[in-house]
Amino acid sequence: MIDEYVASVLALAIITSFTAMGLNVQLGFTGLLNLGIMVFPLIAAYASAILTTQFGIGLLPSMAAGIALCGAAAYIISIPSLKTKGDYFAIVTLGFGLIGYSLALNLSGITRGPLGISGIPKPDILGIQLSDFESFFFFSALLLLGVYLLLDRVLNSPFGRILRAIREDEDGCMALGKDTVKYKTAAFVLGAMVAGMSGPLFASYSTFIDPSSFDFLSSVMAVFAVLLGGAGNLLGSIAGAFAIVALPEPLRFLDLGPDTFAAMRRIIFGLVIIALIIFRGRGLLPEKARKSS
Amino acid sequence: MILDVNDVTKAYGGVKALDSVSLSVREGTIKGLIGPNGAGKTTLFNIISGFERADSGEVLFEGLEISGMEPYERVKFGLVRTFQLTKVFGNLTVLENVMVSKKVPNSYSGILNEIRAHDRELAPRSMEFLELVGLGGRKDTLARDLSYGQQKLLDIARALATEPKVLLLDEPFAGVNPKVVRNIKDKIKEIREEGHTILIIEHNLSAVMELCDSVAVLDYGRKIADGEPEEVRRDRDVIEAYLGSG
Repeated sequence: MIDEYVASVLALAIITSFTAMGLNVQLGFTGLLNLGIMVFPLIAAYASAILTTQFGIGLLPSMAAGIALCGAAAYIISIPSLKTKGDYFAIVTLGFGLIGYSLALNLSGITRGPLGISGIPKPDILGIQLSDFESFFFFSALLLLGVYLLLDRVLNSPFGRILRAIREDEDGCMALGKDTVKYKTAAFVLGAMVAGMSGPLFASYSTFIDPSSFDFLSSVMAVFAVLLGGAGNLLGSIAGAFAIVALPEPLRFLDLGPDTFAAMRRIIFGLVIIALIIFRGRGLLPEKARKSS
Repeated sequence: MILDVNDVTKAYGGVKALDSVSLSVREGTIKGLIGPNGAGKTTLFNIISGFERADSGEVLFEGLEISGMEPYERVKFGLVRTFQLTKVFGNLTVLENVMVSKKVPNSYSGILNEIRAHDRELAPRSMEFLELVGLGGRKDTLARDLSYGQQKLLDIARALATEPKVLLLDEPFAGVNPKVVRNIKDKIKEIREEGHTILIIEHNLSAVMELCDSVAVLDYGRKIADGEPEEVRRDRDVIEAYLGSG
């Protein structure tokens, strides 16, 4: 048996791992610096929250619908975004992140705006409600393992090799006959769907969502998780997600007010980011060279 | 003629980088493109390979108009280029760099099929191209750890692995030490022996004169000479362009 507090932290780390892995597909493997990744968890989270609370559909089918919606949204967002490159791409995606956040905040008829949506159910598997954090942890861990194995296969395939080639030099890749925009679109949609999985999981985990969980700062934290773990290394994203979730936890045992806690949390992240970039620029688990067998 | 450039003009702002330039390359030959810095050589290369569009004029490949095509579409037809400053994939291994050249249909189904593809046949084939340029022993090295000259050879190996008919080489000897220049020169001759057509931009005049069957000279965006190396070497305009008129 895992202590409920520990299980709640571990489950949150696993949820964050989906965001980091999805972003890693875009940023770490394909070189697409997406500064608005949280728009995808937001879409999937609201879709599943609305489907479960208002239409009484189970969490798992709602989650699947949310992720499908994420894929469609990612494809649409990719069309204008991928007309740009580098810094410009980062700014365009930042814009989409802000738009998603603002829509969630202001379309109160659908999202209940700043009030948020509460009463989101826990996953229900074969009639068994996973109501405690421990069972939720095992459920999400199993899901993470499955997605990890799938992504690992995709990214180590010849398709994944082209993505890394685009990251290294897009013109060089195009000069070898590759329609790089199509590859980038595929990577963007795939990454968005994986990142999107964290949305319904988080909604169910906390039984409540409001727009603040999907703001710009949370998109930046996802970038941080990828860089901290190691861009281009899938396990690194899980390590990075665990690190950003676990790092501020010891602060809880100090007797700080909520405002001080939030401020301390940001200061710690700031210091860790600076130290990381200076001392270990390639992350905790750097990308490994893929030697031929 | 396997490659024809007809009346290509390209201006940046008010400056004409290329002024009605025409050029033909005969199948199975090596053609040189020389000229002082800023003469428009790289612009012409970019237009032939599709990385830039001409303001007017056309590019024909095997008689087919390709002026409007994307670079990757031209590769499919057999027209591939290298870059003056190499664009090798630094954090991929040398072998992986060549494996990227595998011909894959550029449709979503073609792209996604690559998720299930394997390298069993691709790896040994890619190795052949590495052996050809003498980099077989470095296959597992990251490309960024190669010397500059070796990166140029890797760039050529990758281009060859796309199985081109025409190879466009942008200053293959620039910044390379003389021993490697010898090596690259020999490889280029071998490539021609195998039936490839080559168009080469180069500053190293002696290398051009030795390698090329014909040479075109650009100066201030205009073609001022085109013919056999000996002829071009004696041309008054060419001498003036290179040495300045006294």
